[in-house]
Amino acid sequence: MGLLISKMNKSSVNKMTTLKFKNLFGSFSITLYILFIGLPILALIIKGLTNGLSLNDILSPTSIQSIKLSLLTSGISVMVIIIVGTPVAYVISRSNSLALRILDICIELPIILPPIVAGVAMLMAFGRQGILGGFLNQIGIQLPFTMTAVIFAQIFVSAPFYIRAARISFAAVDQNLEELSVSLGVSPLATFWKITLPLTWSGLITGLALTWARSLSEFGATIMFAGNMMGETQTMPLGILMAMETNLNTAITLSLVLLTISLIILIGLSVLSNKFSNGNRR
Amino acid sequence: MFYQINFLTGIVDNMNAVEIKLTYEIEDFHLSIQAQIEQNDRMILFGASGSGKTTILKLILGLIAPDSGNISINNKIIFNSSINYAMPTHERQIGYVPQNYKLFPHLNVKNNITYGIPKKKLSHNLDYVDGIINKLGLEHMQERSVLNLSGGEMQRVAIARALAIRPNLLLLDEPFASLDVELHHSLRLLIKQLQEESHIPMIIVTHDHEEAISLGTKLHVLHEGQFIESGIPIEILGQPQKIATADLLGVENTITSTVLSVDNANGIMLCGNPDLQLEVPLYDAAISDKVVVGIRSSDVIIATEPPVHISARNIIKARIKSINTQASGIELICEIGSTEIRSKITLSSLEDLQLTVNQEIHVFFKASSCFIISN
Repeated sequence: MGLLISKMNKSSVNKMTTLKFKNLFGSFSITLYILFIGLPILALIIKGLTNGLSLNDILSPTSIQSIKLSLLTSGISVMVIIIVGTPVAYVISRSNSLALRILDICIELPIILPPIVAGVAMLMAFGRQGILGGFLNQIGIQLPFTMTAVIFAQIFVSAPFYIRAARISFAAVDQNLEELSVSLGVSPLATFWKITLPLTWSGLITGLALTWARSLSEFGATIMFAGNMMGETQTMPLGILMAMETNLNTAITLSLVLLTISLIILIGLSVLSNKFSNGNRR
Repeated sequence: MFYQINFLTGIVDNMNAVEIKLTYEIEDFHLSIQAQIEQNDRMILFGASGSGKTTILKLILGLIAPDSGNISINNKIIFNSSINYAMPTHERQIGYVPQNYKLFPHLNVKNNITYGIPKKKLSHNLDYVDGIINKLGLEHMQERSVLNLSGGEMQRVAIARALAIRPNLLLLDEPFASLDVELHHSLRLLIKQLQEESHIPMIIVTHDHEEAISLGTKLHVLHEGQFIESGIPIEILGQPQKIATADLLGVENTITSTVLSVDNANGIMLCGNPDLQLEVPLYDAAISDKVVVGIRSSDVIIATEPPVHISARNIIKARIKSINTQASGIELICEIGSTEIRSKITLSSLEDLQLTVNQEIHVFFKASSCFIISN
């Protein structure tokens, strides 16, 4: 009996040490990771403050234009992605067909595609020498190096983040709930509004935040397909690069503005997402 | 609207039968059924899992499309393959209570119940909805989240939600399956009462024979997509004509008899038919009631001499009618007049006792091995 107890104690002691080791190792890794992510951001803020954040830099016509353009284009991109991407994600989540499964993989392709390659690809499609671009040019539509091209590039690169999140959220909704709703006399479309959307709000909003952040930070595809014209296609990331070549302080200031906008969107949407998921529980 | 139901007055207009005739094929599963349900019917779909019970409900609801056939409710065509018509599910007005209730997790009890009533019509339906809520005893939990309800409460909400749309037909999928046994009795009463007051025809899917008998007015035994037996539940399940039905019931011996005496003090009853008398456990039955006594063949013991000094209460002289070899052992069919009793023995017992067809033997079994399938 005594032996048994001492054995038990030993094994529970062993367990304790493993647990302690895990905790220790875990906390060490977490600290390292936080430092790795946090240090550059902290450095950016410190540099910005010590070098003197200049309001002039923020209010300069160049900055204002790039901030405005970034907000406008990313806003439009996100809208388009929601309107087109939501039904796409829903249909894929509810289908077992091979064609749609392949489509699903294609949709995620831009995530692994280097943005600069995406830009080249878009030029090959919509550029003056492009497959569709020649025709578009003939009827007087020019896409490359316009604000529309900025939006195209953002949609191309960032849509997968929303569609993917939406598809996963929709797939998690019990199809029987939708069927039951329809059996109660509610049309399939109304069922989507009354059952599917309320049960997926938080997932959709998370996807939306990712997509928006990705649109705001889009650089490679934009510079390749839309160019870098002030007031026309120069979004904040491009503006930061330009500033970097002439004035470091302007670059730091613009970077901080972009960081702030991204944080506001991220925090705002996660508050919204929490509110929805709490509301769902009532 | 062909009729109005009212829990207060119970007034019902003329109602016709629900008619269903369907075929449906998927991979190697073939479903082909035909049924009629009258206004006051509680039709039982009785079958093992995988026999196609839930598929039938989904076909009636229009959640899956039949290959051919027709469905009409109150003479209104819901589905007809010959004119290529299928009414969309949301126009069919068929109440559906699925097995796991499927309450909407983001809505409270009240909003779940009124979900199927369009907002504009809600004010005209308040009395009706309140009637249902009271009937189902949900008055005090209307504001509660459906996530914190017990199984029985969830089911009552699901039933209320289905009734709220004033259905022409109510489908209940395994209503007893995920419910504690203590609640079976009250649910049975509730369903009966709802049906008798609302006159909504019901289709109830179950694999529980007791519930089938006590609840159904009509029963179809579903086996591999076909109705192999149809009729009054007690008749079908009391004396199944098809092996598949008996297999479903898992009872090899079902003996129809009449209650001869009731011994409350000892907790037993004496039942009999012209061929034999049986001592069985006490059951809720009165003298001269007809009952079906079930005994599993593995509980029936064979003796070549009358057994003495044993506790078994039922010792019956019989003749071996046939000896059949089965995968699980030997099945003896023994005759007592026109009553047959099956007994399952091992091959070594058969050899030791040197049993032969037409031999006189004694079958015996404990009173507690007997059970009443139905009354």
